[in-house]
Amino acid sequence: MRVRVAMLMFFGVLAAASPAGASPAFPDAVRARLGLSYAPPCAICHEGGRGGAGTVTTRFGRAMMDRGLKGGDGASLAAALDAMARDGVDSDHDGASDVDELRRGKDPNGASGVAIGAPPIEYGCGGATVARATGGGGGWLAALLLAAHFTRRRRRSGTGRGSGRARAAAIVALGAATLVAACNPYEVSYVAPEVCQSGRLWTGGDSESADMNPGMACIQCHSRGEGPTFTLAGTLYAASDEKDRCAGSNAAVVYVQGADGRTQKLVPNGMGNFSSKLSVAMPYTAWVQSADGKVRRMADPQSNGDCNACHTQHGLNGAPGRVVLP
Amino acid sequence: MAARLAVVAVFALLVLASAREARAYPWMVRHAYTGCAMCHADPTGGGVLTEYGRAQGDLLLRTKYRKVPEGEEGEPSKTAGFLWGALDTPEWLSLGGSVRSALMRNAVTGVPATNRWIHMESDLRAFAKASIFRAGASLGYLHEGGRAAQVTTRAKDNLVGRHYWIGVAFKEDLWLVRAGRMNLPFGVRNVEHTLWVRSATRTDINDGQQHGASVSYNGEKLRGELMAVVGNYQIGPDDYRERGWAGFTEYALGDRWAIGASTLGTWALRDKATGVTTHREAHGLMLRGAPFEQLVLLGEATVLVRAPAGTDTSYGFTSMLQADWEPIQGVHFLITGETLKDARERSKTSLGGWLSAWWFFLPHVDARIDAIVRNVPTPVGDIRATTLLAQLHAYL
Ligand code: HEC
Ligand code: HEC
Ligand code: HEC
Repeated sequence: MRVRVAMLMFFGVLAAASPAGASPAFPDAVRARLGLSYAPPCAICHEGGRGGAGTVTTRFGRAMMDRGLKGGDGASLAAALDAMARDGVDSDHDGASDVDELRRGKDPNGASGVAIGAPPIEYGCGGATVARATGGGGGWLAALLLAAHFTRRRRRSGTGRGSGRARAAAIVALGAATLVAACNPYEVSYVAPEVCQSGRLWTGGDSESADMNPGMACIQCHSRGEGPTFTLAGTLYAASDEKDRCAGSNAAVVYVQGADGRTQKLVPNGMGNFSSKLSVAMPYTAWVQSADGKVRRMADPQSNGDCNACHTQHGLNGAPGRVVLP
Repeated sequence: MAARLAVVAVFALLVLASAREARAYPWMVRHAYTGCAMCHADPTGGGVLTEYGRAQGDLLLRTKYRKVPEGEEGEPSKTAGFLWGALDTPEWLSLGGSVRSALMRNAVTGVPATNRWIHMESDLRAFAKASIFRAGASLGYLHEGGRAAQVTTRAKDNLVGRHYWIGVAFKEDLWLVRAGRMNLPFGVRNVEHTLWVRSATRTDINDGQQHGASVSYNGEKLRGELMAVVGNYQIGPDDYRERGWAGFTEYALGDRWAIGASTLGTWALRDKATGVTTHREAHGLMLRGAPFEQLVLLGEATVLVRAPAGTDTSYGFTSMLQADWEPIQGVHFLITGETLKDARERSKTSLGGWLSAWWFFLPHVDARIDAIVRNVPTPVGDIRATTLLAQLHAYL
């Protein structure tokens, strides 16, 4: 395992050095060529997803190489993608061509149409996905009460056999209660700054809450049939490159002005999420205004109310990253 | 070079005088214990010791500095109990724990050498039995690592729960049916969780446990466990959880030899290594034996199969052979050789060698030093990793 870590570092160095034939720019080139809303991961071509010569062994990657793809050659990428579309290559034999799958956000190598752009692996109880906030404090309280109870009983019963049992029971009860308390799946977890600069991460999955999935494209996901239908929705952040699901900020208010001149005021909640169900005349303009009157304005009018669809961690469609405080 | 370092390190260690542990020690086969259930609450080994196990640990594991007075040979010392005997536990409850820290120096070609202190384990373990019911659990704290076993969701400083299960025993513990989070029944239950036979099959006892249900049989000659694996619910999202089976069976040949076979197969919608839907399998043979009491051999040879969606099925192989020589009670010298050919297209065989010295120098305390050299061929050239590891371990 340590070796693997070292190897990761090693490959990391390699990737950073970007030798002549490297292709780290390919994901973005694929996005541009196919008009995707996301950049596919290195893993669609490189098995294991780390990149490197000799690792383009996925079926999609090989089909691309068969059609002339060469490392570091953007022109060969465009030509190979066009040839893939023309030939209707279906690498995973699931009936949908690779190019179609990429357009629909599916993995061209995935058997059952697995969504692409792997959500990061999460560690902790319940994989932090089966969330429902019911006071973790309750568990700790129970633990303390139990411990207190057994300690008192032990004092009363003095020494002797009974006390050993009571002490042991206290240890087990404390352990169990700790586990229950800790296992309690929090909807929001406190995380290290390298995970979220705000120090808070949404770990509640898709559980019913206005705090859900900060930073992610709300309207796009809800349009699959679940969750309320918003006309406008997004997340306000303090840092412009926060990752998806990291908590945002409510230190300012978002205004959206429709083409008809009507303005809506959207107040972010504690996670920085804001939304509206009122109709908006497209295209609209938007700005963020803080209590002391400072303003940050989007210069170009937009016709998509799903702010986070463009305002991703690094920004898509020309957006500069997150919608941030002025 | 590594060997010379190892020798120096061993002497340094002997001078500094330090420690030992009692987790599952597959090499207890030298004392004609082929099974684990006598000493371990978990019949397939590892974790909490039974009272009998503690007594044997005291009698057979640690170095004895004084001659045992006549007539007291079979008597464990008072320090054999939980927390060196400080806490009396009732009969229905066994408590245990493990604290393990290490200093590691790692040098990899092309990367500056690193020195790290790794706190590997600080676990409290409990096992309870009431009539036919059995339950076991562990809970601990880790500053770093052990991520797949963490209970809390932080990036560092987490609570870890490596195993917890409840079960029902039949026929005087001949059969145990249980469910929960358990060590995967596969291969030799090595403490060395980074051995390729453990890491490549994802069956280590560090954080390789999974949720599921199992049936185990612990006969005198024959033992085994078959587990239905439903995934590790301490990682997420669900796509990453591996589901399938894992099992082993082992048969004792005489007093000091045992041969066994293991099998494992899982599916994950998204494999943590390949990133795509992946089916993987591992099938292996294992051997434990003591040609004479001072020498124990542990061996394992496993075929690896991996079929990531979108790529062809690839085959690999991993093996391990370890000789453990215990010239004086409590002092072990180990030589381990290992190989790994990843189940990846065009992968080449990696080789590894370990030289280790291990001393159980006080009741419940052991120290160990390992010099590990591994050579991993990659398309861009061989990567040579040299690791020096000094561990201090206390079993509570
Ligand atoms: C569209 C397919 C595709 C994607 C996506 C892609 N690559 Fe590549 N990459 C290739 C091909 C083809 C090669 C040449 C492989 C060879 O010659 O064996 C290559 C080569 C490389 C090399 C080795 C270059 C060398 O000369 O040694 C590196 C490093 C690399 N890619 C990194 C990445 C990283 C990092 C990503 C993701 C950010 C990525 N690639 C995404 C197709 C791709
Ligand atoms: C990955 C998919 C997904 C994303 C992204 C997403 N949601 Fe949801 N949302 C859901 C689902 C599913 C439900 C329905 C949950 C239920 O009924 O249990 C829902 C429900 C809701 C609800 C209703 C809660 C209630 O109490 O009834 C609100 C409010 C909401 N989402 C706000 C947002 C906001 C704001 C964003 C963007 C920051 C967002 N969601 C992003 C999937 C998503
Ligand atoms: C279709 C993509 C897209 C959508 C949807 C979108 N934006 Fe933008 N946004 C941009 C682009 C591109 C820029 C940078 C150029 C500009 O200022 O117009 C930008 C810039 C901004 C800025 C100024 C950023 C700065 O640092 O100066 C703010 C504020 C902003 N957007 C708010 C919003 C809000 C609020 C919404 C949702 C109601 C939203 N945006 C939806 C593309 C988008």
